[in-house]
Amino acid sequence: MSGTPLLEARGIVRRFGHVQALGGADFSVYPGEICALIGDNGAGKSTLVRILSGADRPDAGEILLEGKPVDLASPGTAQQMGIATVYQDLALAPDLSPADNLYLGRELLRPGFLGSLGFVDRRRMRRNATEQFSRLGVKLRSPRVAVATLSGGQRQSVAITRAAMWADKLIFMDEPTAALGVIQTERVLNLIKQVRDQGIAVVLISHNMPQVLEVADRVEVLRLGQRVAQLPTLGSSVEQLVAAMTSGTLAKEPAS
Amino acid sequence: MSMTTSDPDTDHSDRHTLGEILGRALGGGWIFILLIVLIAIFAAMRPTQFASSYNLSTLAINAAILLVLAIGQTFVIITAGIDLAVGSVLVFSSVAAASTMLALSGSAGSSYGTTDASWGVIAIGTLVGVGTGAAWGLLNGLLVAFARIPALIVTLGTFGMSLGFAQIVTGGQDVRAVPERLVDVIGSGSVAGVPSLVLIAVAVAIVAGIALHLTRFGMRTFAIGSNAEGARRAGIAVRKQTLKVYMLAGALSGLAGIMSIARFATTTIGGHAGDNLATISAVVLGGTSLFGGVGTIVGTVIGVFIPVVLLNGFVILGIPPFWQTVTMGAVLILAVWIDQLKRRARERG
Amino acid sequence: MFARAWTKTWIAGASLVALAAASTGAQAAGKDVSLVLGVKGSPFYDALACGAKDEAKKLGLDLTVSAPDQFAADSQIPVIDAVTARGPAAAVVVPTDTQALIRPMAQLAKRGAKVLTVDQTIADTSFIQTQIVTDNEQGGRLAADAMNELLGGKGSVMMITQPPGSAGQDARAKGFEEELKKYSGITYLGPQYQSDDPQKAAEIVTSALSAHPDLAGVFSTNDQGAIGGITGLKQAAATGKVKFVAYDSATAEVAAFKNGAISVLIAQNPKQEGEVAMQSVKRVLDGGKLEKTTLTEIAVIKPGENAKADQYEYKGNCAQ
Repeated sequence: MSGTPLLEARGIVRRFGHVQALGGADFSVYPGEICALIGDNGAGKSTLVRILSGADRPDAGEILLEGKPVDLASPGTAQQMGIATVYQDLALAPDLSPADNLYLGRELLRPGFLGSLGFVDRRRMRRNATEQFSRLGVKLRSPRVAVATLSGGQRQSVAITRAAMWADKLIFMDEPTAALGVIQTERVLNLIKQVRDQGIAVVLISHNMPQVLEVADRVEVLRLGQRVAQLPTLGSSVEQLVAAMTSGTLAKEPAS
Repeated sequence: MSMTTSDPDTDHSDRHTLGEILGRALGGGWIFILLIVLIAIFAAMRPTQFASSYNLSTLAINAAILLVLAIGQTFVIITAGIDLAVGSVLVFSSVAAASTMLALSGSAGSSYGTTDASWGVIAIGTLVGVGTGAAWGLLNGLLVAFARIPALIVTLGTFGMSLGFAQIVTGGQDVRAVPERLVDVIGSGSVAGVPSLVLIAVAVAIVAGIALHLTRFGMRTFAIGSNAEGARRAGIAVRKQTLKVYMLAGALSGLAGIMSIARFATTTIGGHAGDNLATISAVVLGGTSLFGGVGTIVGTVIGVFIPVVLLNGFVILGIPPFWQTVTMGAVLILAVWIDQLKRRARERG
Repeated sequence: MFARAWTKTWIAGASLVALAAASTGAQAAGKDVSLVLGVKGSPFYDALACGAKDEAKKLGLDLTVSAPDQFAADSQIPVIDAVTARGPAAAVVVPTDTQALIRPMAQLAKRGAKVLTVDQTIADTSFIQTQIVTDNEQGGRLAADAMNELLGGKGSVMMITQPPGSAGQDARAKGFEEELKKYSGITYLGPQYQSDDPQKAAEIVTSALSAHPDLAGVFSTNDQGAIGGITGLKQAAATGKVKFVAYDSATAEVAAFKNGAISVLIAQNPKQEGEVAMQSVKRVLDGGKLEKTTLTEIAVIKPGENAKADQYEYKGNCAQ
């Protein structure tokens, strides 16, 4: 964790009426890493992610992308800067095919006159989608069937593949395995690692501490709207993470 | 490619393919079989009457206007919306167009109740019809997409408003003088043996099918019906797309209004009250889901023909008229039930 | 999935065949007659169909009855087209629009059927054998005479009718208004419009009573106006005080007549219209000629004539 962070937040404040969700929170994620963002319920994780992905605006504080201050005015702005979000409630169109879903809102048009009439290039979209899925090791029975016919894990994989296709820098994932079974969870976690190996940084929000330790490179801990700890997963234990989340300190040394 | 492997949760790959392709092409498949069976039964029982070329061409003419309305309805229902106003927008547009054409052409035509309006006047009238239809569609779209009022209520409101305005403009009396050329060439004329009204409907269906299945406009129509919030997050201008779809349905109602003037040689203020439900049932019969995201134009074409064929066959066979109503109701429920079964099967799989 | 779909469609198909087989006998050449009503489920047209069926049986005609879902041209034309395809020797039609029906009915005539109209008319009668109608204007006059008699020659009178555009209703209104001018003691308050909406008719009567407390008589040109009108009178506690003359003799009107809410009914005789239609068809098929117009009966049913009211009640209660 050296060098300039890919995305850094400094002193983010966000109030909802009298409730202060974030009270000067800091956060940083470095290029090419999986960074877990953890914290107890109400610690401000979701609010922070919403702000960092452009879905919400902070009352105070600044955000730097590769060291330069940026204004994330909308999810669209964030996407243009290479930042995408995979939401817990899937943002896929269940009746469309995986290929169509990858290109949702960014359809490829046919070249020439037909393209100017708005004809989509289904063959190219399907071919690219197939390539993209195989590069990330996602196995689907057909790129043509409706997404609704896929299993939960496959759907999550499609959503993550889509994010990886359009964000070249950073993807936020909010509880990507919350609703999945054991095997499917394993597949999605592998996919997340694949995404990282493509050079895209991942911020993973999770309540599952063993999972965090398994997949993340580094952990940032939020408590009561502030960052209370940054630590590498290597050498950390679940007890340490829980202690940081609940008391805000790393006081307890690992029992060794 | 790695997409057809024997992964444990992709094991029903052989259950699809053929059914899937046919299903997509025919919007459910079985309704097409039903139509063929109906035609076969009627043709077998009354070959010289039902299967006559005269009867088959009147069947197509009787389906033509409803088909144009139903195509607009298909787009709307794919977005998970509904348009109850199609029939009364048709009436409004036909009144607006007929009044315009009457005002622009003073003298009477050679046959009863017609004017000798030129093609130029008819073109203006058509623009007025399609334009007023699109304007009602714009109002529907604005209220649904921007004011966030449920489509059922919005279009129920404009259903009454457009019919009411048509009655106000005309004092409740049909505009009886319409251009003779429009009636002769479009209303009852034909090109190479195919009735002009049918040609128009076929052209609309082909263009609409291409737009729905092959263009970005169509893809986005499916996307917003399938998951509006997801489409919005993917950067699709959901409200603008919704607006466009309602405008398209309105413009098609306007076009159907012109076809209606041509066919009936008069406006029909007292009619078309049941067109909204007729189009909705045709669209649903054709395999388009009321929940949005799924549908085809081919399916709608078949769905439009089912009641038309049933009515025609029952009258030719001399079956008491109420049975037609009963049968249509039963077929419609069957169609929706099968749609539900398919959905449930899919959710389980 | 496909096997199941097949089964379902075959079940649907098989029941259809059974239905068709049950309902039609063989078609005797030259005796096949079609009757197309104005709308399904109307007691008036059902009574007309009953009269026609009974008479057709007597005359040895093979009658089939059809009807559209709505009293509207766009709903009726597909039915006419199917009758044309069926190719009957003769067809009797209740045209739902004076103009829109010209082309399909002309087509029906062109393809060999003798075409007659009943109850309603169309604008181009060149291909029509005869129009069987009641004299609506005469009916309106009879209503005015009855009103004058009821009021003893003086008082304020209003009329509830449909907006202009329906030929039959317009003729009734015209006859009533013209005849009423003969009676100098009667003050005519003019027409009020409702379109087959009893609720509207009730509102018209109650507000007319507020505006003209001396209102003595109301004439309604059809049954819907009458049913709403007498409801309005009841609401204003003016039943019996205000005399009500109503066209038609629908079941609800007959009941109101017996209760005294309606004083006089001007009744058509749909059964007779059906009978006359079949007699006319028979004559045409036998090579005879018909007058361009065939008039059927109008009856005036006066207070106390309950048996007559029963006799004229619009009811489709014949054996199917």
